[in-house]
Amino acid sequence: MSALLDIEDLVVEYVSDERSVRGADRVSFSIAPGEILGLAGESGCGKSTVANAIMRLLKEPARISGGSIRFDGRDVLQMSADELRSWRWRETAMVFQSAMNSLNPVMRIADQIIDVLRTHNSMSRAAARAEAARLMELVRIDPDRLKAYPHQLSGGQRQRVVIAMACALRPRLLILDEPTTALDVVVQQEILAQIKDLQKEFGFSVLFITHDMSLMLELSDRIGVMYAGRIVELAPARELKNGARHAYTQALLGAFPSITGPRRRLTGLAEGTRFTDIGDLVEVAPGHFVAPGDATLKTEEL
Amino acid sequence: MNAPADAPAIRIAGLDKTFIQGGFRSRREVKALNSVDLEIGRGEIVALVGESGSGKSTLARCIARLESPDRGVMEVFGEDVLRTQRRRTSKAYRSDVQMVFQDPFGSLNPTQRIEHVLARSLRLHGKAKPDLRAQLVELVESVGLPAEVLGSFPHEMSGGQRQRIAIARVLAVEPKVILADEPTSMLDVSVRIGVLNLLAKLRDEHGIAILYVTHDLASARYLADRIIVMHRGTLVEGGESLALLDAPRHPYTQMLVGAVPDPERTAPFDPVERENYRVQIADWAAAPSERVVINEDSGHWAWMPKEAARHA
Repeated sequence: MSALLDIEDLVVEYVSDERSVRGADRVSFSIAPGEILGLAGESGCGKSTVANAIMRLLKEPARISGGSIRFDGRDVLQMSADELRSWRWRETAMVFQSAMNSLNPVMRIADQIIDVLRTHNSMSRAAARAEAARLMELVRIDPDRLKAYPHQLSGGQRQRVVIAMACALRPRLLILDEPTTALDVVVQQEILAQIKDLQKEFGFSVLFITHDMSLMLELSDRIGVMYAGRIVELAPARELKNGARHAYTQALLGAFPSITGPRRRLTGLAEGTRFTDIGDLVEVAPGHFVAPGDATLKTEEL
Repeated sequence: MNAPADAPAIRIAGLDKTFIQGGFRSRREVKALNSVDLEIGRGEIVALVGESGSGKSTLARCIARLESPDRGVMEVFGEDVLRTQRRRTSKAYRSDVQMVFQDPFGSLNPTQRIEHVLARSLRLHGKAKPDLRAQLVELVESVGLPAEVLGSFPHEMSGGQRQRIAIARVLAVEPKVILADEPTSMLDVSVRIGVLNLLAKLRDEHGIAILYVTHDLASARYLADRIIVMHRGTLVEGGESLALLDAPRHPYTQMLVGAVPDPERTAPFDPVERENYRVQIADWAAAPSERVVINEDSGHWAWMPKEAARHA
């Protein structure tokens, strides 16, 4: 199956007068139709930079200085402003970090969803209203709540509305950047389940970005782990969980205590551990890629 | 403090706290703490878990005396602090009971070097020794940082390092109780475990009692001897960590445990089951309830309706 999204050697630089920092450094991966790919890593590792590069949302001082991003064969980096406008949301939609705060506080939920539908589709107001109600049902919110203003909804409900809006035009790729980070675990689980349901119903691909490995393992088909702008490991979720090769991946996985089984001591990453000279990915098993490097994991002496 | 030698570190009974929310037309009362009873033994780590808005931070802030409860008893090492220190907190109390906050970015003065931040705490509480430099080095090394960080400013350090400095500052005053309010939730995941291990070490080496406030059940299970679950201002279940999470009795605890991400889980999320939990939680909250001992050995108890208790 050919890839829906194909990224090759993407380089994003943050340029200032004195120096430039690579936010993403020769990043390559692809997402198949209907696949959920997770991108894991900690703050500053470049995972949001990659997402914003795909959406062509990077602003100065960030710039894409190398590589290619292809969506269903089309070169995203060559799209004109007009092409981008019709491609975003219709083909690829993104839910941003703390997106629940991105709703317009002085517009009713109904008007905001109808706005999205009518801007991108030639749709009558009545048809848009009916579609808005259907979208609300899909994310299990009573369509009566369409009359509400954002502040009258809970954080979890607002996040659902934003996800419903992202799905409104049936995109083929949905990018979710930390979609549940500010939410309680109970709500987080409901939203993840909903994303799975929507994915089954519409069949879109997902790029799922989070720092939480346990969430990532639960949702994703394949996982890429980023560190300092580079992908250090890329593998099917199962395989990554049971056979992570890179020391950083192991540290990330080891950072989450389990809710079952015997209590055992974990070490995490020692303060000040740095991985340098991260090489290009090498296939160590079918579909399992690891970056060689001089990384040695110091266990914490405490 | 002159107190009985066998008194627990913290003993709380019938603590109430109500906040007024809203304005002139929408004024309503929110019960942040509803008759809370809690005991923390000397050198014990107790985790207080619940969702945002459950009142867990309010309870920690009451113990730190940053909030005043409306009524109830609060004893620290046997001393009834609400009665004897009604007006303001004594320096001795502040020394004994210290708080570590969620945000290590906001809690350190950005214009001062770490050396100054720590030396100030030592001096304020009269703990400074003649060889201050050696004392400072020992302090940062005890939280797993090299002596060089003493010359750094907070902005030159990572979040994990800053949280360690915040803990070193707390240690400087030789506390007997540490109240840690979500101390790792703003840190990068790979260094969170290190901070939890550090808290465990403080208990092991200094016998410090710790109240660990968190929404993360897995980390509570990892660190704490006992877990207490809070729901809308009421403590609904408690007991030894492993025993409690293996067989939770209160529907709220059951729902929380079921919501923890678990890659091993095979059954898909069931919205009907979730709704049933919510209904049961509301039913239990409305019914006249009592504290029922589930298991004597593990100290497992649950706050449940008298009707349900009879069948237990």
